[in-house]
Amino acid sequence: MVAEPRTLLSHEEYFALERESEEKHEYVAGQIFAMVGGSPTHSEISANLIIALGPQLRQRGCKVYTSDLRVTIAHLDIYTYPDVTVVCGERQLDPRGGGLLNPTVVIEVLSPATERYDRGKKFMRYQRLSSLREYVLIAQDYPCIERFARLEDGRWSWEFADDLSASIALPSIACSLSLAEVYAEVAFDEASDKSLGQI
Amino acid sequence: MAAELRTLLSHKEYFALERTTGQRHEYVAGRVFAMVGGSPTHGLITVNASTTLNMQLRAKPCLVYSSDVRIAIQQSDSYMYPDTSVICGEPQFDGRNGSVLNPIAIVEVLSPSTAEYDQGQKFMRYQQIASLREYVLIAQDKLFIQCFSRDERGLWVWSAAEGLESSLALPSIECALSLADVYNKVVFGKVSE
Repeated sequence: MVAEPRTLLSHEEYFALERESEEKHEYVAGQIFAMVGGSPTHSEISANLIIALGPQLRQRGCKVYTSDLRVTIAHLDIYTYPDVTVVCGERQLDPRGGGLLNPTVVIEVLSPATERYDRGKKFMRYQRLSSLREYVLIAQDYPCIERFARLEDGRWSWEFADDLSASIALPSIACSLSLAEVYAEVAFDEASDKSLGQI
Repeated sequence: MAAELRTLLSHKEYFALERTTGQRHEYVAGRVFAMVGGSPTHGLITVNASTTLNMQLRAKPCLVYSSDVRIAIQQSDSYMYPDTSVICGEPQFDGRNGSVLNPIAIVEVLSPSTAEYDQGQKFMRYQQIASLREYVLIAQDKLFIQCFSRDERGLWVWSAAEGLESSLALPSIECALSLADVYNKVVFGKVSE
C-alpha cells in the first residue's frame, strides 16, 4: 500500500501560494483546499448581496467585502474566504497574513459541492470567531435565506424566509435583506430539484 | 430531448400508488418522489438512535416510530417518512390514511444523496408542523449530530455535538443522544473533508 504523502504547509508557504496562484485556497492547520469558482448564479447572488448591503452600511462604520477578503479563525489556525463578509467598527487584521479577525456577519451562497460543509463543520468553525453575530446561508436554486444568530447565552437561533416578497432582518448590522433584491434577475434552473428522484 | 412528464397526483392516487407498488414515496403538493433505500451504515445508525430514544422514553407516554410511519404535513400538503419520529401523548392521525400529524421530534440520518435536501427544503417543510420541537440530523460519514430545537418562544435554536464522548440534549423530550450510543459499532470509511 502506498501511503499518501501529506505535507503540511507553513503559513509562509501558504501566503506565498496565495500570492502566486490564480485560485484561492482555504488553509486548515497546514492543509490546503482549493476553493473552486462558483456558478454564474452563485456570482449573481453574491453581487446582489453586495449591492443590497452596500448602501445600507454606508456612513455607519461598517464595511462589506467580497470573497476576495481572507478571514482568519486564529483559534483553529484557519484561513478562508467567505462569499460576503461584513465588519462593523474597528477592523482587526491578522498581523501574519492580513486576514480579517473580527467579522460581524458572514454570508455563504450555497453550492451543491459545499453545502454540507457550510451547514456543518464550517459553521462550527466560524462560531469560534467571537465577533461573529450572524451567519447567513443563501440558496441558489430556489429563493431561500437562512439566518443563524448568536443568542446572549451563546447558543444560535435559526430562521428562514423563502417568499420573494419577504425580507430577513440582520439586526447585528441593522440591515435587511429583501429576497426580491437578493434574487433580482436570477434565473433558477427548473431541472435542479433538490428532492429525491421524482417519478 | 424527451420532456419530463409532470403529472400531479391526487391524494387518492398517491395512496393507491403506495398500496400497489409496495414502495414508499414522499408526496409534496401533488408531486411524488420515490424513496431510495439507505446504506448499511444508515440502517445501523437509525436503529442505534431509535434504540437509545426508546429506552429513555420507555416509562413516558411517548412513542418512537420507524420510517414505516408516514407523517402528514397539512400546511404544505406533504407526506413524508422520517427515519425516526417521536410522538408524545396521543398520536393524532390524518383520518383517511393513518398518517401521523403530531410528531414532537424527527430524526434524519443524512445520506450523501439527500443531505442537502434534509437540511434545507425538508426542514422548511417539517418546521410547519406545530407540534414539532426537535429536528435531529445525524451524519453517517463522521461523528456529528446537529439539532434544531424550538424553544418556548417559538425560536429555533441550533446545537451540535461531535466526538465520541459528547452528547446532544433534546430538551422537549428530556432525552440525550450520546454519540457513543448513536455510533455504536459504526465503522467509518475513508475520511473525507
